[in-house]
Amino acid sequence: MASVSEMYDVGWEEMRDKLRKWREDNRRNSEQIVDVGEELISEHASKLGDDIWIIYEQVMIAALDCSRDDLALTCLQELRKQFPDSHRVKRLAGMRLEALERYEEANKHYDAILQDDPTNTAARKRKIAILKAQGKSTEAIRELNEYLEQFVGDQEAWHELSELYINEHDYGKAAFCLEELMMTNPHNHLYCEQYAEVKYTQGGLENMELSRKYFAQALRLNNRNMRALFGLYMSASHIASSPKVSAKVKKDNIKYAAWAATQINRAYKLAGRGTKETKYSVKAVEEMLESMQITMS
Amino acid sequence: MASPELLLDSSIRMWVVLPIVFITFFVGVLRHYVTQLLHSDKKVDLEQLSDSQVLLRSRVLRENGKYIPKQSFTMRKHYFNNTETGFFKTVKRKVVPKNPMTDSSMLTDMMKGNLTNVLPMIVIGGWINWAFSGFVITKVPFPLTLRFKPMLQRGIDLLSLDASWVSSASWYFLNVFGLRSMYSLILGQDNERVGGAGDRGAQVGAGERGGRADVQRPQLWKPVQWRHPVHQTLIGTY
Repeated sequence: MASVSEMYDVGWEEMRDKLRKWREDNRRNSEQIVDVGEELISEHASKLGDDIWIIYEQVMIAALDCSRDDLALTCLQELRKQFPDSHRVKRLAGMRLEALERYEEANKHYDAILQDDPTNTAARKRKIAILKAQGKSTEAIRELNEYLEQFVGDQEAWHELSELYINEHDYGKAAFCLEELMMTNPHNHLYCEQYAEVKYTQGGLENMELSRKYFAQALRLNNRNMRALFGLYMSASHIASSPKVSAKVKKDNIKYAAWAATQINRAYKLAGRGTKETKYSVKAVEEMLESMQITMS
Repeated sequence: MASPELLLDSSIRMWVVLPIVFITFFVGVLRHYVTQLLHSDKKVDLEQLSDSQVLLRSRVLRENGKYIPKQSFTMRKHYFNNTETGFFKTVKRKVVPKNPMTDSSMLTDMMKGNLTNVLPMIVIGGWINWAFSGFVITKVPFPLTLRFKPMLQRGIDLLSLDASWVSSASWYFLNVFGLRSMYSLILGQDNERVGGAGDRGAQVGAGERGGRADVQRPQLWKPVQWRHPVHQTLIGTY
């Protein structure tokens, strides 16, 4: 089988730099990392110097993703030899046990880390991940709540909690978590849009109005967010077709929905420019918009 | 009356002024690395960590509250400020003013601070005084009163000499304080040199006490600031 360096004609420095870029971007393209990393470790280990330890960590996690337990074990053993008392390495050992589905042992591992250092957030998060993997979502939610009581600032955790709540259809609490995220990241259009979607799902006139406002905010932050555009169209048409609103509100919302529809059409026209299928896709979008339109009473 | 302009031998400049600058600089760099070697890991207290995050969250709420709906904002405000059940009202922290003499970890930190900052300064200051004594080095650009004379002109007993002419020891001390900004340029942001002579143990002690007191104080001033935050929803116009 051809090695990566032969196939793409790259040297070891380029491979190492590529790995670093993936690490900084926090990408999870595990198969690529395993291919590149494995070759780097086996052929060029001596040239890497101190970089090799972090590459071991990166490759090990990718190997666990691809079920390459042999590679993961090799990386783990090298790391253990070099850093015998490190909590970070112990966490990796726990992750390997999780990948082998030996959850009890993994739990014991993490408990040992926490006894030694109660402020270690990584071990706590892994324990919650174990509960999630075992499908015990109510317990995972409870543990995550307790974790968040102590570490209120952990945004990753808030996002994870909102996802868990959405899976349990508890939209009110999911909205709470997303509000925390919106406060700490006011310029992130994705959180606004997710919040608006949760509000839309909750239903009811007030929530519908809120969702329309937040879709608009997401569009204001990033005017190419198609989901927000569709969401604006849907929420505006929903409000317009509700029997409880005044005539003025109805008119306003019909205007918003019409504006959103034209924006959507235009975006699809621009996207399909130059291809033969343009006519068909634009027509499909128009038909879809008409079918989505909630009948006006 | 214009002060008599002294003409100094240019070899003074070459062999005294510049060497003192270099000596101060290199001793400072050495001090930085020695402090790093002697540095002991501070154990993070879980309670302190979580408290600092809670404070951060309340600050974020105050600053960015306008991005969330009014009801959510009031709900959170009540969580923090409610007279009976509010977080800041009910959670009390025991403030034990730590006595630096008895707390062992602070004592060792204090000693290390003293050792690495004060001792070299004394030693090198004394050596410079001994080695480069008996002549003036330079003239400070601003006029000084006569009271500075014995301090700045060690070893020179000339009554008529202007107090602006200083000896090598004072040039050394000037360097010590002046080169601090150079260290942050060269050694990076949090270099260990910022201790300085005057702070000693007070800095370490105050740091600990300050951490505790900080958590106490918010309980007192936060409710006042919060009673009337004007909540203007930003998301109201679409």
